[in-house]
Amino acid sequence: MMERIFRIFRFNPETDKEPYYDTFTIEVQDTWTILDGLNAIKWHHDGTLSYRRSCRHGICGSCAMMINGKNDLACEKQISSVKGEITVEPLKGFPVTRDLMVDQTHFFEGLRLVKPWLINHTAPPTDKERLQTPEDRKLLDGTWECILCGACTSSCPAFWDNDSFLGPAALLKAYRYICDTRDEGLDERIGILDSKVGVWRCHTIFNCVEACPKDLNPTNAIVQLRRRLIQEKL
Amino acid sequence: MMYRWHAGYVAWLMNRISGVLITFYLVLHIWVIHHLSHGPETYKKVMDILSSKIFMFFELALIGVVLYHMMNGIRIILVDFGNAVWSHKTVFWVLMAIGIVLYVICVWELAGGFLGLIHHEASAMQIAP
Repeated sequence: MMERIFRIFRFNPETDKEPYYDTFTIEVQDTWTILDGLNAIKWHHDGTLSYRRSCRHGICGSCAMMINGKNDLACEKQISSVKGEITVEPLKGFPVTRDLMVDQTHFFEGLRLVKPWLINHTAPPTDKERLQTPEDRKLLDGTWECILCGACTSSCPAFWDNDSFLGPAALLKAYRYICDTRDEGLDERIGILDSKVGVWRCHTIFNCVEACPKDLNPTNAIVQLRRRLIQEKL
Repeated sequence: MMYRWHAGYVAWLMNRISGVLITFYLVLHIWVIHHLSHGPETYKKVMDILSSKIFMFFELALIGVVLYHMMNGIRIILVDFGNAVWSHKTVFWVLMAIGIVLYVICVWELAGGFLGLIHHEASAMQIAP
């Protein structure tokens, strides 16, 4: 056990005029994650501390937050990997609902617009699944791993400027289906992808690549979508 | 508001700044060209202002700004149409290195021109009674 200092962003819109930071000094174990630290604070020091968490396995995407200036999953980030004081803040670019919780309404609205599901106009075979060749399946690598935590979209200046922009997560998800050889939904998605809130709003700043806790490359998805749209237009 | 400092963010931010500066230059350029229509006397007056040391410095800065905007433009083309989306940081630093070499060559050439101009002015002053 050792002592670590957590500096945590606090804001309750019902009672606070301005956000502020609370500091907690707690005993932590070597194997603890940031989420373990937050749980220890909530359970033993301040029960009013609010944050989202669910699976604790880096797959639900609930606990994405900014840890020492970098977007990360609290359940994956080891306390031992952070030097000095640990500053925990909510994801940027989204309205704060309370403490470390943010309102991701626009984020999920944008996601719905790209129809993130398989669109195929022919009936599937009755005796088996829709099969793919290993090569076709490989095309999906680097896209299906997205857990929709919002870390990338939160770091995107184009999204800060206009939260109607679909953002890197929704565009990565759109590409996941468009590059799927079983999908036939490009015609249904092209309208929103080719709109003012679509792929052309990306300024290739690469913040999303820096922010992704799963080491994905949403900018690549956006570039590939742009090429696909150009091909379609030509 | 910003996220973190990294090559991609720096490249974008400097691209914006250089773009704005080039727009200012364009306005200045139109202003100078506009004086062409006011006859040789007026044009010479404007050119005398532009030949001052401060404008020589601005000219050197302009070359840097344009070169940066050009090299980063190449980077963006390589991201959009090449494979640089996977190596944009390396591409950025390589292009910046090429840009610096080009800048040094330009400054060398211009400095020669400036030195020649200064030398010419000095000679003219010596000749004058």
